[in-house]
Amino acid sequence: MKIQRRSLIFQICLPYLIVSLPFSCQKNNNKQFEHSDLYPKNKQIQDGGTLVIGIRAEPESLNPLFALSQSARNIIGLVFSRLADINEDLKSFSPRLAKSWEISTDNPQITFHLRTDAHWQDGTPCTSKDVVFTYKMHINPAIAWDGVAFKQNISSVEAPNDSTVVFSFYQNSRSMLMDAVEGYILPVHILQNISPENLFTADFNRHPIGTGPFQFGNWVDMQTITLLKNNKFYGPGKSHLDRIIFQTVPDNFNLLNQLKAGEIDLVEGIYPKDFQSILQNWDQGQSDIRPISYLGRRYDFIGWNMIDPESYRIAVDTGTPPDAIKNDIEPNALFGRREIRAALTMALDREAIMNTVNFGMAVSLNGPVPPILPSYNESANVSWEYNPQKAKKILSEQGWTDSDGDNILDKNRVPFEFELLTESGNLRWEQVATIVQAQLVEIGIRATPRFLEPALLYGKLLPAKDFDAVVIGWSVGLTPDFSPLFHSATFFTPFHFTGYSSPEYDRLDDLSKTALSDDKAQEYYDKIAQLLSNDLPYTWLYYRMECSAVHSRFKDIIYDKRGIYINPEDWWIPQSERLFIDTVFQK
Amino acid sequence: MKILPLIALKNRSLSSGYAAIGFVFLFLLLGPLLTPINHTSQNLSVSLQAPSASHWVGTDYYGRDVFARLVYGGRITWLVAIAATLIAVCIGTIIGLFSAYRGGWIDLVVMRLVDVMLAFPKLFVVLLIVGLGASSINLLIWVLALFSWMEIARIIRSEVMSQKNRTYIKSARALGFGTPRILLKHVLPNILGPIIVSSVLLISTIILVESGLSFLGLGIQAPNASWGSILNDGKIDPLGTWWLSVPAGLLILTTVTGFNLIGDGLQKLFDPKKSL
Amino acid sequence: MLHGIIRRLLSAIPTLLIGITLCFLIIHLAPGNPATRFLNPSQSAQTQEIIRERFGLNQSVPVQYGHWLERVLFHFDFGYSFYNGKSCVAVLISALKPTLILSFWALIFALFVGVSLGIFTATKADTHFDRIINSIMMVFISTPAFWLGLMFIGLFTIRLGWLPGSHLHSLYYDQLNSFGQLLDSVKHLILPVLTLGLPLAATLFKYIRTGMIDALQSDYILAARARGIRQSTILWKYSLKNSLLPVVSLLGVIIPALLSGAVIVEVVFALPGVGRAMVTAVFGRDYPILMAGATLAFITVIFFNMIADILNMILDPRIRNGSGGL
Repeated sequence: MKIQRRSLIFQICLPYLIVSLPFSCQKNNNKQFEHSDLYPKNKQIQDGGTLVIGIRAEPESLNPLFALSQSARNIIGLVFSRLADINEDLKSFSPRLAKSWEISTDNPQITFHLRTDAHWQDGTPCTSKDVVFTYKMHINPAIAWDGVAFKQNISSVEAPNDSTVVFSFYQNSRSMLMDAVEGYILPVHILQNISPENLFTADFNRHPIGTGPFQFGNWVDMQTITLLKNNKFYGPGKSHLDRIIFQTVPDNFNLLNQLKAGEIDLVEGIYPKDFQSILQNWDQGQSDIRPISYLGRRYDFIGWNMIDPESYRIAVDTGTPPDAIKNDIEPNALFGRREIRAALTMALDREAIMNTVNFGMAVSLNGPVPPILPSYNESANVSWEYNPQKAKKILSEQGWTDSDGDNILDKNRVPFEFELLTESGNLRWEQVATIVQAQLVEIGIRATPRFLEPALLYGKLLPAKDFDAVVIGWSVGLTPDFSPLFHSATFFTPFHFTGYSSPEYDRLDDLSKTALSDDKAQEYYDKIAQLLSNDLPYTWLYYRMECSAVHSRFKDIIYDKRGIYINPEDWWIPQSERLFIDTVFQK
Repeated sequence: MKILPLIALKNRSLSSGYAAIGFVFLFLLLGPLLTPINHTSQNLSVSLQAPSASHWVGTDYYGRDVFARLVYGGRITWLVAIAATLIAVCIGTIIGLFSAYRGGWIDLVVMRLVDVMLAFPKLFVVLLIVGLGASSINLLIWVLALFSWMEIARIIRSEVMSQKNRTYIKSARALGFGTPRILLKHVLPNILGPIIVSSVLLISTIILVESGLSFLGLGIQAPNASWGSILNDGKIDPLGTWWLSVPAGLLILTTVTGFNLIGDGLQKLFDPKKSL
Repeated sequence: MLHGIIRRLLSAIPTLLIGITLCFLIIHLAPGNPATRFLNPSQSAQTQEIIRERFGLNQSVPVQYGHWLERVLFHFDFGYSFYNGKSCVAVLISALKPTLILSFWALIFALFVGVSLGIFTATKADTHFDRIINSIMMVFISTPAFWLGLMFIGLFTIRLGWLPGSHLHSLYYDQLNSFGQLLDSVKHLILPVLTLGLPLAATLFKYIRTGMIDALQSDYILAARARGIRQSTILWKYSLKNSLLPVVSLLGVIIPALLSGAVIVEVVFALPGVGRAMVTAVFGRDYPILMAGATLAFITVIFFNMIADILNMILDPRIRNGSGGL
């Protein structure tokens, strides 16, 4: 019996003993890392080496016409080229496939002179025929290319000879050059025999041939995509690196563990909380993983429904012409008044929200123009200080007081409460909604967060304007365009879910588009910023920073708001810092 | 026979099982008394701290108290498992009884359905449905239950089959009792043993499936916790942030082992021949 | 016996049909509609219509079901992935290799450890050794596989740096000589196989040990022993055969468990297998892949159930003569 009891205790404790084993092993990586110069001055650039990039999802397609995911776009950017690439100022362009161009404004036209030494990676020369073909693909409705809006102002694209392409436009605008060069040039000699309907499943999408500094090597399903140095690349811009391997690692934890273990060299889109630890290790010299952060393309906001959902539904159901019914739509009982939106904005400690959910990796945002754009002007925005007392005062002026003593404001016996929707599964937004709830309760407003299925939120509730308030975010392009969000011409489209409508805004928006000089346009953008940040259809929360990390052996990496793949062909690894993976591959 | 399991502490599996489950149960019951901290309140200034006097099991990324999360997360894990098991046992019992007692083509169809349902890899299918649907605890419970009743139905059916022609049933029928009454009053009490055993074992299976789902990020959603989702928080550097990955894992392990031991022990009691 | 086998084969047909239909229904009745996956506000209504047509989403559910069933049954064609336009069969077949490698070695490991320890402890029933092994196995039965995997990665990959914790082989696998390739594969497989195999080994162990103890105490073994037949002969020739029988019928339980376990293990170790593909498809709402995956998993299980039943018929005289069984 005694033996039995002892063995019983032993049996119960056994698993815990097993588990404690790993902890008796001491951590052995207290190695210090010397960080060598990342942008060496007196450099002897050495060719060779391998870059391993970790991506979370396998690209859906390597065809520029269909690719939507970030990983696909990155790979496509290495394999294909545009006519010209945008510069850091987001206004001017650098030559790529086009050597030079002339813009004529009175008869709006751009004439591109193409390089004559550019070749497709299969050896065929790249000519103006490819450019014309690419334009035809872009505007083909069967392709449904997602950048088709850029091509709306283009009336025709013609090729007078092999090295000249002429883009003609309906009307003169500041964005003609950007409209013309948007989109990667596709090889006509490969794609002309495939009908547009079958292009979606064409073999080309998995074995692309481009004109970029890297050429497609091979694709192992769900594992790796290998790009090789394009030795036929024109000019002096050949890549220093021999190969780039994209490795699919679907889980964040595996991705980070492989980054730490040195199996992966570059990761984009690191969560701010993980980025902080990478930053810390780097600063303390405990790792050779170099943190990189820059202003990205995304901002988050609270959108207020300014119209009454029920009256909107009735108005839409009657089927009368859109312009007539706009007058039948009543303003929202809560958010229809600017004062209420202003009070709600002042009741929120937006800086605390920003820092909490982004771990410091974000900047504040008060108006519609993204900080990365040249037209951004912080002084144009009306900024709303965090001031719950003033918010309360405004609300009581509007008739919202706590008359029944339940700590919730009410007006005519109706309590101030609403649902704050957000997409379920988006941790950041769910957190924002939770914090907003807590902050609004302080001034006597009951917001109930609801986390919804994306299909329900974007597919149904927002387009039908059937909601109170929503926490989401937009991703921005390189030109300011707010009309899908606020212009009354788009009132009935899904993006325009706040129901904002202002003749003054419409006028400024139209003027900003047709303005021919940057200075004139800037004037309108400033007025738009002032108007919107004062009217508050959105309460802008913050502008996010992108967090990436790359192994420190890669030198001369340029990164800015355009991203991290600005000059991949210039990246190189000093001989002394090369690892096994840099030397193992035979040429 | 009914009080037998409670006093049968001489049975070693049973007593260690009771000890393990009792320990976890007390932890879940008394946990809130030991810590005043709310399990969802965040405090970024104490993000990812190792256990200390103010946070007994440390904090997670958002500075939430892991001890409190283990307690409330454990309650959710237990709630989901027990609720799903109860529903599954009800469905399984009703279908098993009915199928066996009616026999004939009904029995055939039901058993074919059981075969089909059993052939779905459970985690696989539950993952599909829960993943595609909006994640809610109710949906999770029902889906887990709907894919767990088959074993119970099968056991009950075979037990009823073997009881069906016993004398006591025959005499009950001879006395003119209706089918439901015979089933409930006479058959059910006699097959209670196997039902209890398989439901106890089912609890541990469901805990494993639920924590697997939550680990994948598909089960219990934030800001609620379950042991699986706490483990999910600890998966980056599992040993570095061991207070996230180890205690939650040990709690799952202890609970599942406990229920398994109780199941084994009860089986030995009810049916010494069949025990494993 | 042939008659029995044919009857078993035939009985699988309705099961298969019900199952395939269920797969379709589960995915179409699950909350969240496949068509809404493409509701991207930036697309025009016309674009959306084109895309819907591309995937046959503009038809009613019964019509979709009819088309789907016809294609699955007669052409073994599950349509194309929403995500990358590849045929679902191709996607799953390329994902099958890692899953098969992983499951195969896990099964071999589980059989080896489970059977050998089961037999060994059965001969030493009720000793300290038996109890210790027994309780270790009890723990492994109850261990969540993902936790075991995490602990392995934490210890052997991150802390000690001995074994890789992800993928099937290194990026430079093709550059190695054949011995290097073998070593590379083995190193990558050890942790996932242990993670998937240990709980399975524990389950098998439990069955084998019980079966073995029963067999060793049965009358005919006692009789054999009384006749002076050697212990090892008794062990291997008589007892083992009897205790392996339940293992064969366990195949029906093991295969779904392996598939479920593989999902978790593939996620934890970033292996590009079927389970991984399914989890990715769930997050990306790639309905054709999900339907194909669920259906194929179901067919696999039904197939192995059938094999198990037929093997049982061949091995077990009672079932063969039609006097036993459920």
